[in-house]
Amino acid sequence: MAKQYDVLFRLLLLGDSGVGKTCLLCRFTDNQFHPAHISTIGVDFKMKTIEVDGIKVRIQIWDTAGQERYQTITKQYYRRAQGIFLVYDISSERSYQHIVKWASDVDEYAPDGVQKILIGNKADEEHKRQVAKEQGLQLAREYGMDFYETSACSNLNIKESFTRLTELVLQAHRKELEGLRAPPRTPTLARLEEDEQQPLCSEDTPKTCWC
Amino acid sequence: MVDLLLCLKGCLIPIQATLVPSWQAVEKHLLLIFTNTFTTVFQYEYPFFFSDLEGNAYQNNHLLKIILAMHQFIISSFSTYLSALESKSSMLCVKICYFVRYWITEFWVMFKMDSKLSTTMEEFQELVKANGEELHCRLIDTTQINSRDWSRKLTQRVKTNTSKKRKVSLLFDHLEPEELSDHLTYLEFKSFRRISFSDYQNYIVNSCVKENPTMERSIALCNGISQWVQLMVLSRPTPQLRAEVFIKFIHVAQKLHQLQNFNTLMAVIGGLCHSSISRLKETSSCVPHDVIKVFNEMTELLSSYRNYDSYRRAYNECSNFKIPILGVHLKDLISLYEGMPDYLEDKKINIYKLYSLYNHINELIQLQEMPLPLEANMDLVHLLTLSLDLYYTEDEIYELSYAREPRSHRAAPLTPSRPPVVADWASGVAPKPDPKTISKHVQRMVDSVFKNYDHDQDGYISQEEFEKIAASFPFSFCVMAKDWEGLISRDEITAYFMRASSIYSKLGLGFKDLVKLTVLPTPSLAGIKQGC
Repeated sequence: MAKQYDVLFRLLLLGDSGVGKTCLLCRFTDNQFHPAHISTIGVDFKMKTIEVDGIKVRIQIWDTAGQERYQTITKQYYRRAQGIFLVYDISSERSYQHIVKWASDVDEYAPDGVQKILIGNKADEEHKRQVAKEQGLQLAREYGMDFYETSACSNLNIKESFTRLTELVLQAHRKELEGLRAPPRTPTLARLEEDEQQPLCSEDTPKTCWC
Repeated sequence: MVDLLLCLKGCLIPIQATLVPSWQAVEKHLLLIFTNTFTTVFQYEYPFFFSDLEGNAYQNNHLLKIILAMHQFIISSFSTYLSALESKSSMLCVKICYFVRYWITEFWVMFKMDSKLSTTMEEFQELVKANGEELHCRLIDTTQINSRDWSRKLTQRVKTNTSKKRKVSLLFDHLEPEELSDHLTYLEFKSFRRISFSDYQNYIVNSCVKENPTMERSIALCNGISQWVQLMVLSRPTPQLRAEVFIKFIHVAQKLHQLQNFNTLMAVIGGLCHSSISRLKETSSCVPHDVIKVFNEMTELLSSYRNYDSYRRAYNECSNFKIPILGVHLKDLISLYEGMPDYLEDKKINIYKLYSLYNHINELIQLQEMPLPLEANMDLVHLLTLSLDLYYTEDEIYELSYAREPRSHRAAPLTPSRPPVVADWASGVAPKPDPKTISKHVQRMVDSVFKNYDHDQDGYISQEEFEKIAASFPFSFCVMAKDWEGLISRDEITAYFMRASSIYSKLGLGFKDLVKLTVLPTPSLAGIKQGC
């Protein structure tokens, strides 16, 4: 049973309703979308394997699509994320302002050391722009995050931003992954991968690489 | 293509039997949809295809209904019709008119909701008047739209035996879990059944609740219940008392599960799972193991694991009355909408997308017709409505939680540093309330009490009612200093709450925060109350 990938990470898309999170996701996963997945017992995250630094990384991307205003529902998603996209819409000042709130929710609920990246989506709608690129850059600087303006419509920076966040998560977990390239077996990874059932956050996120 | 046809065959078989045209015709019609661009279908082929039908023969055409119901996902206005009419023969005009008439008759709500559409339709009517024959005019009648009883859906009462005679205690401590679950379900169902087909559509297209008050209310109710659950637990001064409330809510959750009201169940369990509650170690040590076990089972049932797998299973096994976790189903709709392309290759419309969306929405709409299997007491409904309208921030609830059970010393250095707040979310950092602010908040709260409880508007409410009101809020244990008799004036009530504020400041809780709970700034509440 050879695995198709070396490591598995969970990424989460956060931001106001309507900023285009689901679009980003669909775009990144090339619209490999099967409607049956939705209402059956299927998968609500989408998977994609990318290679970073010679490591095959399987990323699971979770999307809160349309549930953003349900406080108790959205909180559930934070717990198992290792990387988070904070997404706003460049044509909505409000969605940009709310990033502060999303970021503080992440501080509160996501595991320590979760990696974050800021995304200004809908960059193709230049004529409706309400948030200058500099504002995005500035906010990202305040939080020490990377920043991308993307467009699901014109496929701008989609792959780049997903790859970047994956790199960041990979770096953050470097210590556990050190053995990865040399010996074929990696006990830590198995744990990272099989913890689906574990309740709450706490132990499954290693806390060695930062702070 | 073949697959898609097969998929659709299921839904078309009933049509085969009831509809005037033959199955071949339906198939031909399907093929038309697949082989033509959407505009062509609507401009020309659609009415043409239905040329053999009389106006009333449309009625059972499920597919046509789907197309009409869902077309706004693909095209927003119907101005294309105008050009169609201008260039077609008189014979075709009749067909178009029949088609439009059917549309207006069956989907008048859509015209009401979409002003662009109805404007276009009025223009169309003008055009017909100017150029068409008399018959055409008679067929197209936009006044029909306006004459419809728009409020039918909105004012429809929840069908239940609301007995006014039965005496109930309005003190939280005296309420049985079953009473709470019944009344929460009553409120939930009332808000759920108001969400119309177009509301779902608008939500999907706009991905937000802007100008979608029914949806917004439903979400606000859900969040309100979660906060209320947290606050009721946190309002108790000792771990034992908090544990009692916690246990009570677990029992409420069990009853909600029995009622198959998953939305409120999610709100209650979500509230109990919230870290403001789960961090209360002293409290949870007072909760018996069997209750914790039930709590864990519930949490598992509602977990987001594998796209809410366990919830979906449970939900699908339920028959009769049930209330879905709306958030989960809205997510499905958004994913379907964003995930599938509007057009297939060669600009053929993706009928399967429309079909899936229609079915998902329709399933939710069907549930609204179920009879509510319980009785509601209106006093309790009013009380809950008022106390669920919460305007607490997460941070304020946290403060309350820390005030009840302070951080242990070990954990103390981990205090998360809040990021610089630049936006309007800053409300969480509440300064120590000055008397002026307190007074303002008390005044606002008293106003809302009078608005809702001073039925004869004489400036007094009865002592009995005041006690009910005071008991419904999380600071209900704050006893009155003296026994009032008979009627209570506005000033007396104000004084009571001002006094309560000083008691609270001794407890380390800003009264300002507590009063906020009861402020009812939204006009929407008036709407809710009228419907009660």
